[in-house]
Amino acid sequence: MYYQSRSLIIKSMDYRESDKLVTLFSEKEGKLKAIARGIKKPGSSLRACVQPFCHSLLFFHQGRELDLITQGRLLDFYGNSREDIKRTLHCMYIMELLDKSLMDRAAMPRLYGLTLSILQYINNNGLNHLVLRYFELQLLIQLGYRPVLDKCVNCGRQGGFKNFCLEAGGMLCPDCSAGEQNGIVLYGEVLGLLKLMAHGNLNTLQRVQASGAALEKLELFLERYLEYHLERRFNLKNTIRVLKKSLS
Amino acid sequence: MRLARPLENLIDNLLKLPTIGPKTAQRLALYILKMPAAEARQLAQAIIDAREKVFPCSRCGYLTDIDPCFICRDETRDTSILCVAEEASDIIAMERTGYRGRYYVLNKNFNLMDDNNLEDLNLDSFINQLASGEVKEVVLALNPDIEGEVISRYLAGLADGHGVKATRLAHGLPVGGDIEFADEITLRRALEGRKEI
Ligand SMILES: [Zn+2]
Ligand SMILES: [Zn+2]
Repeated sequence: MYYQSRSLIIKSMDYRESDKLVTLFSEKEGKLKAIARGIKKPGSSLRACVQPFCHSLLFFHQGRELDLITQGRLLDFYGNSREDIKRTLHCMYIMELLDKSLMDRAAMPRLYGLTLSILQYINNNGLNHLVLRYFELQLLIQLGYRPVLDKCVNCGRQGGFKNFCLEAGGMLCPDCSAGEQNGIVLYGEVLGLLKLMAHGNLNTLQRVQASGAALEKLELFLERYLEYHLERRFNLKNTIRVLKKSLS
Repeated sequence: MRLARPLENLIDNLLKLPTIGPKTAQRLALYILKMPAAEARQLAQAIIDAREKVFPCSRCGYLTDIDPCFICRDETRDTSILCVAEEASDIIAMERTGYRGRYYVLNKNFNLMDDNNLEDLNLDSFINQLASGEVKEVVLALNPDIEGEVISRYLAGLADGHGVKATRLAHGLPVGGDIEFADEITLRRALEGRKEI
């Protein structure tokens, strides 16, 4: 059986002599792995279509174990991002988030659309750390981990609380947080940004000016939140840190 | 259909080789059975010998049976230029170009999304060579993919720390290819790397 879908390429690994095993996020089928044959030979028309963080229209043939990518058309390769190592690494980080958080064969069309618009944004406007954080938070929300920020997640009491509990996935009031060891203190600008990102869209967000200190705290918070719920480490972040010296 | 145990065993072991599918494995196994006994023994011995006697050169990482390897021993080579490659097979390709400097093979095991670290790359001998002061230029000849780019940046940073110039192979169009059929990514790279004539 044949099918086709627009797809974002997450990664591709060597597979047999000149084939690649491609992990991709398809619009219609969700995340899946498929074989692209003859990719390493010069002149392969599929090769560009299966490069990481490319957007391609792919044609698949269902196989017994793995599906085969039979044809493809490159829709966007985000050329500005690709020639800039910093942007490339952050786009790969987005791919890594998808790789390590999505279930196989579960379509997520809204997340698909969001990922496209984020890649487009970075390509056209350059890196924006708030936009990256927005993607992390929206990914968590789409996976069912929307943080409860304006009331106590335990007893429902309304109010401005400062203690965020990773396990409960939200703020805790002073009564409920008594004895809580692993709380994260969230307030002021960081909390404001989180609320904005949870409800706002990319358009409103790109006009927001955030302080460097708040962005740093926000990044740390989301890193912990992601790692807690996805139970994975994100390696790209580490590589970005190691390379930071040569990148600046 | 049931096969004799030793034959089945041979097929299973051939199947572990890259690009060998079940049909090829069976064909090869049956071929080996028909070989003269001495030749089959030679084949088996060759595998054992290569496996036991060939190892990465302690200086450059190229596969060798003497240490340092013949490239590192060759005194006619230009020791001021050091070409970094991902695999020993890349050196075989570079040698065919007439390049006469030295090499450093990463035998790399770095994937962006796996739990590994740039700082875990085996670079001791590379750094020693940079520190010796003999090397004036590091030529980064890594694969033109994102991982190759990341490692190149990292190595260029190390070279810079030792005051050594780092260069990278140009990314461009294959000779004899048609621009019409080049993919967008390659063409854009070639455009970036254009040269004045
Ligand atoms: Zn409460
Ligand atoms: Zn050597």
